[in-house]
Amino acid sequence: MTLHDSNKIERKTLIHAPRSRVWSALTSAAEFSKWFRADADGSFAPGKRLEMVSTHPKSNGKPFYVIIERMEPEHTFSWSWHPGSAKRDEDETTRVEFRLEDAAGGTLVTVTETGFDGISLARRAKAFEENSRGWELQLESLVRYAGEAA
Amino acid sequence: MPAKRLKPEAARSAPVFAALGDRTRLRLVARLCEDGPVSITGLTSGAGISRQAVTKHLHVLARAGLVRGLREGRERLYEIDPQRLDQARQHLQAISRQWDEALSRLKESLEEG
Repeated sequence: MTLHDSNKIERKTLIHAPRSRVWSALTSAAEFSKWFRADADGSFAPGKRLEMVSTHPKSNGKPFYVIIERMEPEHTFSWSWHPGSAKRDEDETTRVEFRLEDAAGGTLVTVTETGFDGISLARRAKAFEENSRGWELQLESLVRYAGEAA
Repeated sequence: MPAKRLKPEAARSAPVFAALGDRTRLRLVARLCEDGPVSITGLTSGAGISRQAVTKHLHVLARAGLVRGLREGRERLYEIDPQRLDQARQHLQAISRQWDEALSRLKESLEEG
C-alpha cells in the first residue's frame, strides 16, 4: 500500500456470471442479504435510506444504515454508510461503489470504499475487531471450561 | 467537532488522514520515509515552496503524530513516527479483508448454480 492509497480501499474480483446476474445479486435485497450478510428493511432505490441488521457471525445483530446513492443498471451501484454505528451522523460516512465491467469469461467487479478520515476508519475497523475478540474470548473460556470438566 | 463522543483512541487517530489529505504534506512524508531524518533546509530544497510553508506543514504532521522533530547540533531534523502510520495501515487492512470476504461470498453465490 502506498501513501496515496491511505484513504481508499479498492478490491476487484472476476465472477463467472453475466453482468445482469451480478447486478441482481448486488441490488436485490433478498440476494444481497445472503452474500453481504445483512438484512435490509426494504428494497434498494437511489436516495433511499435503509436500516440494516448484520447477520455476519462476527457482528450478528448489529444495526447500521446505508443511504443508496447511484444505481445505473448493470454498471454502477453506490451507497454511503457508517458501519460500526447506528447513529445518523452523515458527516462521518464513507462511500462504497461497485463497478461492473465485461471481462473474458464473465464480469469484473470493482469495489472501492473512500472517504476515510481517521475517525470513520478507526471506528469501522474496530466495529468488527472488537466483536471478533469477543468471540475469541468466548471460545477460550469454553476451551478452558471443557478442559476443566474433562 | 464530534470529538466529545469518541473513544480516546479513535479521537487520537482522527487527524492522521486530514494531515495526509494534502499533496505537499504527502510529499514531505514520502520524502521522510525514503531519506530518514532530514532538516528543514533539506526538505525545502527542491520542494518548490518556502521554508515557512515547509515548517507549517511539518507542524501539522507533528500534531497528527506522523513526524517528530529531533535536535541535531544547530539544525532541527524531522523524522517519521511510524507508529501512527502503522495503526492507520492496520485499520485499512482489516477493512480490506472484510471486503475480500464479502466479494468471495458474492462470487460463490453466483458461480454455484
